[in-house]
Amino acid sequence: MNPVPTEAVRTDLNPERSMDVHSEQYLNVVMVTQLRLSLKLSAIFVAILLGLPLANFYFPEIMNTRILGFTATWLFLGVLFYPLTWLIAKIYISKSLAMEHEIASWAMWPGEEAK
Amino acid sequence: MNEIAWIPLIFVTFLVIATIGLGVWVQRSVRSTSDMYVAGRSVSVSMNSAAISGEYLSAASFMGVAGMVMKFGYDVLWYPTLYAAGYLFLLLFIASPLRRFGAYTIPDFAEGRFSSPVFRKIAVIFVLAIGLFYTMPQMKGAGVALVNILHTPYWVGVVLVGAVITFNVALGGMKGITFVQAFQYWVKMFAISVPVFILFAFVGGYHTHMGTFGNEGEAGKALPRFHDDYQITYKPVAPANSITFPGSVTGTFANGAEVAVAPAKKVPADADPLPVEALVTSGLPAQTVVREISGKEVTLYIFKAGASFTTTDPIAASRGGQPLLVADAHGNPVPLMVPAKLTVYPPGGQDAVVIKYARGEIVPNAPADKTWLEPFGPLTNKYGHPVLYTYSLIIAIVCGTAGLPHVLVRFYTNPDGRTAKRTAFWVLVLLGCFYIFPPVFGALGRSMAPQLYAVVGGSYSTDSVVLILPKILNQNVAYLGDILSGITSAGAFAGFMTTFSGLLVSLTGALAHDIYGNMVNKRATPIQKLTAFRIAAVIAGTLAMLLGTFVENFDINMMVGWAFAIAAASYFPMLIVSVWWRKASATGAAVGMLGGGMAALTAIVSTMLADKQVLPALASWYAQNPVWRTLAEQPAIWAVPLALFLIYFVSLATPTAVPADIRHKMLVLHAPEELNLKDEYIKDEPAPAR
Repeated sequence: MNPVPTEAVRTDLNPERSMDVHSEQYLNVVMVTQLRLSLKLSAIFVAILLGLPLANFYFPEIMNTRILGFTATWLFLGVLFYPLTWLIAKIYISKSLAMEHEIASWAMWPGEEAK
Repeated sequence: MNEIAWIPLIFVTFLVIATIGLGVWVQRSVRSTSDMYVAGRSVSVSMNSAAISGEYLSAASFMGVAGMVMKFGYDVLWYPTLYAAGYLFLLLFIASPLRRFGAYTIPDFAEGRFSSPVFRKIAVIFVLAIGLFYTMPQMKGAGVALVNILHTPYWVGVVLVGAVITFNVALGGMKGITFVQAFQYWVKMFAISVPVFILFAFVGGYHTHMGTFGNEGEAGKALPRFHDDYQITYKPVAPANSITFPGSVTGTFANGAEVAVAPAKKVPADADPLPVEALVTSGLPAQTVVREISGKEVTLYIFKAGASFTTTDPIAASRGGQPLLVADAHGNPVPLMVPAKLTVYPPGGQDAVVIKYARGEIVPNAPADKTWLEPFGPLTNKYGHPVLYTYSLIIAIVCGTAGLPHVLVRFYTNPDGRTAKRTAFWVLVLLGCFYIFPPVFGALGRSMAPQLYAVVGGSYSTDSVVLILPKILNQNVAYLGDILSGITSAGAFAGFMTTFSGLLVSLTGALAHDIYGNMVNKRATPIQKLTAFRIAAVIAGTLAMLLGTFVENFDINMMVGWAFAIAAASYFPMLIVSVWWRKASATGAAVGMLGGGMAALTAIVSTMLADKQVLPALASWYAQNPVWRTLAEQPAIWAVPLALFLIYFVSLATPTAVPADIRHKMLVLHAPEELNLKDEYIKDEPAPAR
């Protein structure tokens, strides 16, 4: 079974938002907060993946401007795209782990009482 | 060209010995079934991210992307970019919940998440299908690479790579290959980057070479030219013996040839006729022969040994005397220019046609600078709907990456969901650093080794640019080119070996854990399970080697495409829904996964049957309906939504098939580790007595 914390009063419990760990409400909070973060960050990528082919199609002169020998669109897709994935992944990890920590502080086990 | 390439041989031998050595060394610490399947769930972030990257960077990434960039240009940049972006979606939506579930294999997850043993059976079929489709190109790559280095028969490379990896997997399972894959990631990173920097020092940088390709006005029409006199060998297999001449080219048939002459582009039936005599300006020989080639009677012109030919510049097609206009990639009307195409067959008694091209001649088969450099070139504009093709490619690769079982299963080797997230981040960094380089080989290859365009497919085509390009440095420093080519050969071998080892663990897991452990003998003792893993590894490895020997003439990209399309339309929708939608029912997920996967597979097989003229009626229908043809060749754009729709509606129709304890399952998937809710679906067993 899941171990219930042994101390009588938990120091990490956030009294203002505490809720039963097995409640519908808590599950919703856990899933919705994480999903919202993932959707927000993935929206940046969806925009790039949908937008770049359209930009290439409708604005070929701008996208094929030469920069340092490359075309703008080659430089973006072949080189600069990767650091962008790192940045977004980095933001996601730090926010998501911080969020997990906070969500954990709201969890209340059966037998515990909110103060 | 028949002497053994000693320097690459030494590098490859060293790599193979190091791989076996690492496997034997790690094997001493393998104690339990958990070690075999998920490396004891204790792989550190740095080790695991290198191992995942090592496994992911297959021969297709190492050699294929470089070759395709050289051949098609900009459009191919989507492949490496999307392999990386696919990983980002995996991180954002799947990695950490999947790990928290604590299974050994993806079929475990399917069964456990939906409380449905039937689902495990369906999932196993897809693991085996995707795994075997993905294995065959690795095997083919190994066979072809060894042909280049040692001139052995094709099967030797297949058996060598197959046997080494089967040995490692059978000995050490997941734990054994984790070290090897991590080590080989760094081999590959070294092998792709160091030769590039040394090439830069001698021949100029990436931007310098990119700057030589024009895209404005006349500069955009420039074509690569031979840098030296070359003799190119054309074997009589399609498509290698079919040569398109993008400009006027003069060549000499060293041993003579029987030649079919045709326009390289389809001309509408109502256009003014384009006589074949106009395509070869040097005139056609009077002697001809009519032969039956793939069901059609074809007139072949007989060129004697030493006979020369000169092809025409592309001819403007016309209709009723007026120039015939077609839409270019951006929809603007341009005149239809038709180049000449020669299909060459060796004369009696010869096994190949040899054509001599003089220095300065235009290289056959090469696209012009502008089409190569700019988006919507020869890859995506094949059927005239480049934007549609691009979008479908994007969906296929992003969703396919997030649905490849052999990649997903590596996340179970992380200690918990948090480390799974950190691992996915570092994988992105390692992959991104790697993927900058293959397009560099493609660009440098176009400017420094254009002779590789002269044959389509086979050992000396653009596919081998990574192995051939470094050799140009032999003229600067003796042996430097050979040493660098040896390094890239070792990198290519690391590509076949790591990807195959990941696939073999995944296939072995399906056989030993899902089929033997959960269907045949549910009460197997730990020692029986360990033995079953080893036997299953040998069975799967042997099967992969056997299949590998049959695929010498298959197209690598076609096989990889199958694996991605099936994964995108089957596993990806199933996973995303299982992780984020509580109302998904077992029936719904299974129907969606089967429906999407089978529909994608059927579409791809139909294009193959049309191409090989098995169904000529379908081929002509596809020719008249390019949109459908595009959708069938790149099915992800409709097959992924189809799978999601099926899951949605069937789930709503079968609410009783939603697991009763769904709330607990979802909590296990999503709850932070700090809550200690972790409830590994497959419990680790104590070590068997030794």
